[in-house]
Amino acid sequence: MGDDAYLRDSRRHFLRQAAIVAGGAAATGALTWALRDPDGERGKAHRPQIELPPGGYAVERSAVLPALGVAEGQDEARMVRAAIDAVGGIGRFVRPGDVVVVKPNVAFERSAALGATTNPEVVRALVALLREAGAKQVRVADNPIESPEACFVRSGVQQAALEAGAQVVLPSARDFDTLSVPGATWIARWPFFWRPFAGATKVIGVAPVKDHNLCRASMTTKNWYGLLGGRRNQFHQDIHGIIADLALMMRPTLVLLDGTRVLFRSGPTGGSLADVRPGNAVVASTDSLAADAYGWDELLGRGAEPLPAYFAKAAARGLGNPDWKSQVVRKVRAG
Amino acid sequence: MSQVIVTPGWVKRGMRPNKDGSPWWARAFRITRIRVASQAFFFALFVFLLWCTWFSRLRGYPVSLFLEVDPLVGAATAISNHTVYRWLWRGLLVLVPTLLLGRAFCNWMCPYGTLHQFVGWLFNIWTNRDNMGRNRYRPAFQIKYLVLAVFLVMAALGSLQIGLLDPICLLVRTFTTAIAPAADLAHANLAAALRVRLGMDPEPLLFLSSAPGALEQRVFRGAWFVGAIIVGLVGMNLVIPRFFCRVLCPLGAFLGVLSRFALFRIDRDLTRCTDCDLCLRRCEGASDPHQALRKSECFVCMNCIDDCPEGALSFRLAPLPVKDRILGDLSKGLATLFGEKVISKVPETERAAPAVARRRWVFAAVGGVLAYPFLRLSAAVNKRGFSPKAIRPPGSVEESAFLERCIKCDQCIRVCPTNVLQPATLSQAGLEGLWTPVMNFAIGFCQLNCTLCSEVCPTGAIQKTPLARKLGVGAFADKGPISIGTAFFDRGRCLPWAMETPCVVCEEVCPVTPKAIGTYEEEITRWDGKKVVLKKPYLRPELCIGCGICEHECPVVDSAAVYVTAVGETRSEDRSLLLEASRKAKERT
Amino acid sequence: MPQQGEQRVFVRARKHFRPRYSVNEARLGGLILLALALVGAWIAWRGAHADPSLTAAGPGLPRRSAEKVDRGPLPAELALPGWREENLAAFGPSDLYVKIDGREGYYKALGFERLHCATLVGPGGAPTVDLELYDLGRAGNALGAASGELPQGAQPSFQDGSLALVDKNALFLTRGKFYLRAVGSDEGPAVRAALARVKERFLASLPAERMPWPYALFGELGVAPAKVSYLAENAFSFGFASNVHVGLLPDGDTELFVAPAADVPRARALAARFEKGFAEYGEPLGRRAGVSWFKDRYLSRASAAGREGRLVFGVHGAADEKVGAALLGRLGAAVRALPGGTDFSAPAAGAKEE
Repeated sequence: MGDDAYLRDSRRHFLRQAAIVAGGAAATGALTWALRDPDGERGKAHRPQIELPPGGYAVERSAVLPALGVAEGQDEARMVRAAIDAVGGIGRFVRPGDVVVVKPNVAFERSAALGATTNPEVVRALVALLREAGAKQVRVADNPIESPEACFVRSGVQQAALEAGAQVVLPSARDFDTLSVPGATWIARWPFFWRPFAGATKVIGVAPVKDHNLCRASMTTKNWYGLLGGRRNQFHQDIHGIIADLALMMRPTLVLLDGTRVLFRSGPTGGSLADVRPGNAVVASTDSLAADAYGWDELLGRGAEPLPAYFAKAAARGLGNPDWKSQVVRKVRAG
Repeated sequence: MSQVIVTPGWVKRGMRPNKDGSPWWARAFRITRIRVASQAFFFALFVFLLWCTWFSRLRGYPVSLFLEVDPLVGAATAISNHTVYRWLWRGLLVLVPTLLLGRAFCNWMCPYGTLHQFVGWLFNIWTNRDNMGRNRYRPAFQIKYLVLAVFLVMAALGSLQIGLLDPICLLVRTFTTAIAPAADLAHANLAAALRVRLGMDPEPLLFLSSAPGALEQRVFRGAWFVGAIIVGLVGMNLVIPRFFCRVLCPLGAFLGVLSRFALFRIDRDLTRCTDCDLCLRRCEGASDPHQALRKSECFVCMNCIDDCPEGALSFRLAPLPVKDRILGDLSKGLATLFGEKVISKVPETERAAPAVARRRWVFAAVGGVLAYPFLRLSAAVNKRGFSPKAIRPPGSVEESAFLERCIKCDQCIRVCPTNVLQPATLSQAGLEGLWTPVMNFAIGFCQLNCTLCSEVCPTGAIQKTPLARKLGVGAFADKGPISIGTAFFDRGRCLPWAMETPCVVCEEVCPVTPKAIGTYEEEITRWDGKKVVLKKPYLRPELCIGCGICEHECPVVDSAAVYVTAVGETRSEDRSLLLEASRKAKERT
Repeated sequence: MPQQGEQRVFVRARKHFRPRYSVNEARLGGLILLALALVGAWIAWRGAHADPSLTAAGPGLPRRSAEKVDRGPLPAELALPGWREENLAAFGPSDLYVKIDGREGYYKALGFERLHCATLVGPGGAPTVDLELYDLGRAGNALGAASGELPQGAQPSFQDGSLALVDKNALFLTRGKFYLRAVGSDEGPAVRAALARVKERFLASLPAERMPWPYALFGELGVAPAKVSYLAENAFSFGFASNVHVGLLPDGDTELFVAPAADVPRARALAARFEKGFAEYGEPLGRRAGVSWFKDRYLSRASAAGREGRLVFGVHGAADEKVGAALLGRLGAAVRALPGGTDFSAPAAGAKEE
């Protein structure tokens, strides 16, 4: 019945349909097999994890150079240079072509005079120095507690950084990745403000000298708190433990303790000029604990009191030596 | 003495050979009857599995089987969370036959389709002629494809909403929230009447109860709404036959799209068809078998084969469209096909693809793209604004992943022995979370040693959780127990704190050890001079797992003095309360 | 017919119109029915073969009797002929909550060390008796626990230093440091027989310990064990009254007391001071039973103190001196009847006597 053409077409039609059906079935089956998740393990969220370079960003220790360089004076630019020169000069830390992350404290929306944030002139001087040393890129970054844009602008750090030739990296939700810090108590895995660190070779922290209502002082070691994301407001349940973890997390190339203004009470937010007094010093160090201990003794003037608990915790992990007096300190006057 | 077996008249008539000479059983076992048997079988199986979804009946039955073989559930969840969880590969058991046979599922297996067809058949008051008119294709049948497109696009973006209209999810949800409690009420009254009025033992009636052994009549919030929907949709069969299946069903649309290349279809023999349109009389899919069969609408019900007086229709393998082979003038009735006279005046026999214009697909997809942010940003899937009373079952994944997986089937709600799981209302979880499971501790509490909800969840919104994992013992001791929330004391309502009245029901019933509720003892002299020792409760948040039995048992029944909110749940890092718990949560992932 | 159609609710199916039937179609139908039957069989098979992890008892549930559980001090042959013993289990302080969640605090406060339990099941599965044997470390604790759980107004019997009470469907028994509670499923004779057997076996196999002398002494005079207390100092607000054992009679007001002194001269002095103390608080009522009685001016109740050897004893708060004298006589006789080797040293600090 029917002509051969019909039979031929009919067969072709059938084969075409059958091929599509078989192919569809096979494709679906293969896809189902590839995506199979019999126990729910595969469906669990696996966030990418990052790690900072082993040993952090520290440069080689020196047996001869001073651990602490203190520059006293009133001219921020000269103090910064003098302090860094006292510990070996910027060339010891930054090579031409380096990508440097400068981490100031811009946590609050306060003007610089209130002492709650890093002095923008110190940031300006540091960035300029870094550019002179040949840094390819300088990124100024922080994850403030209040609105990032407002904090950077009000504190003056944004303007200072941009004018000196740095990039300002403001945090947004996408810029955080989970950081793995082996050995940490609280932040073994925690969201970290990763974007400015991608490709970075050197890290310099610049922290003001502040009183703190919970941990008694906030200086260079606590400064790294500003790089954490997630529910970091829980850390107040063990503030000294978290600071010791921060010291473990970040080994910077250099820290600058901005003692140009000292927020000696009502810290860390301050809010009244009566809480601030001039400190007239800038300290440069490769050892945050030593710098912080100097700041506690000499700038906050609390040498008679015992050091806050985080010093001992961090020192127990071998992350620094709070006994600054036993180390080589070079003090210079810088105008 | 020979035995005389009397055969009833109707059996004798049924066993006569047919007029065309074929034996009696060729008619008795014709395909439409087999189809009815299949529908009855799967409907009974569906009801049976629902009936078994209760801890005393569960045994080993695959109670979520229909949800697992529903290919839309598997496909949509694969799109939204990129995995095929556990038993969802069983969707292939329906999907592959659909590629071969077309939408046979809709009329051979789907319990919702069976329900609609049955109701339509039962209340069929129309004449043959009227039915032929009611079963023609309407452009409104495109709606289901657009609905499917919206849902699939939303799933791709991360919001799974197919459960709103998927027929299996809908029917399971309706059974759970509306029908089962009604059956329980009927059973309770019937059993009471039997026992009290007739003095009979009501035990044999226990099978009517959907939750035997439940202490109280089960209640589900929003059941009126779900009941209204089912009544409405089933009632619509009297307006348009198989209304839901033809107009709204996204699963039907999905299968319809897949039917495009189906090897088998209903084929109309142009040399026999007289264009009488009788095949439309009982056509379930309104797929125009009298003209160009719409493969994407045909339910393979085979009724048209039964109704064609010329025997022009058959279910054939890859029939080729024959329009081009017709020789002669069709309109004058002088055409021939392969040497035989063509009677029908309609030469088209097949329409493979769904009749949805391309622009409509695009508009629907755009609608889905827009619907996602509109729904997601008004719902409470963020760090601060989350709904504190939307407490999810233990073993749930964190909220944004939950909304990628939950198909609102309410199986977990069905199996929960204490009735604490309730379908969420709009205010608790937004439109996106409508009918997803949340706990209501005024009604029940989460039993310590129970993980039934995680066992029956077909999509892994509640991951299968061994009991040791839930309790944080044995191999899971370092991770600690799963917490679904934290209890808070309202000291202004608590009897010992505010009313000089001793009570420590909350501390007594707290199931964990050591207890998560401690007490301060204080002896006071009451206003009436009596000395009384008050034990004033306080919470130990490191130990609280949020089971809610304290809230449930608190004697201040209008608004409990101790209440649980979702903060501190271990499934979510954003909602953790304590640093230690937060660290453990991070270690867990 | 249209009009009729609109009246009707249910309509019978109309016949179909196809002219021909196919044998192959019917054969295919048969195959399909077979496939459905196979699906049904698979469902039934799945139902019969449950996932064992789903039905396993959780980690917190009592162990099944199949496991080897130490009987501990539970006597053998507790079950009557026809009965059997099931669900042997033992619990310590760390997992007691598993058995009696919520009530564990009561026993832990009473020096709980170990719990052994079992269930006796009668012929045909009913009735049942649940046994709980608590090791509370000291006889005083056992007595205290038992007295705290006795039904209101119950009068337990004391024999061989054991407290025993059978009340409706429950048996309360102490034997030294052990406290046994056995509760039956109903109040029928079968349960009572089972309880009697349990009591007999316990009394036979657990060693009798001498009941602490204050319980024995006061118990004989009708004081419930819960009402026996030890006042290390300042009894009755007397600064000199240290090391006093007091028993409160069921009337709620009358107290009997015994205060051991170091030796006879001190006892004499102590008795005199009691007398003087009672005198300060009230008016003299004259002498009876060899001691002076005094009526408390506020409470209007009679008190007196006597002495036997180095034991000072007395009645505080009797209704009147006549009743008091009778009580004093009985108390004196009981004190005299105390065995020679009785240890009158002060109970260890922190021990609960109630």
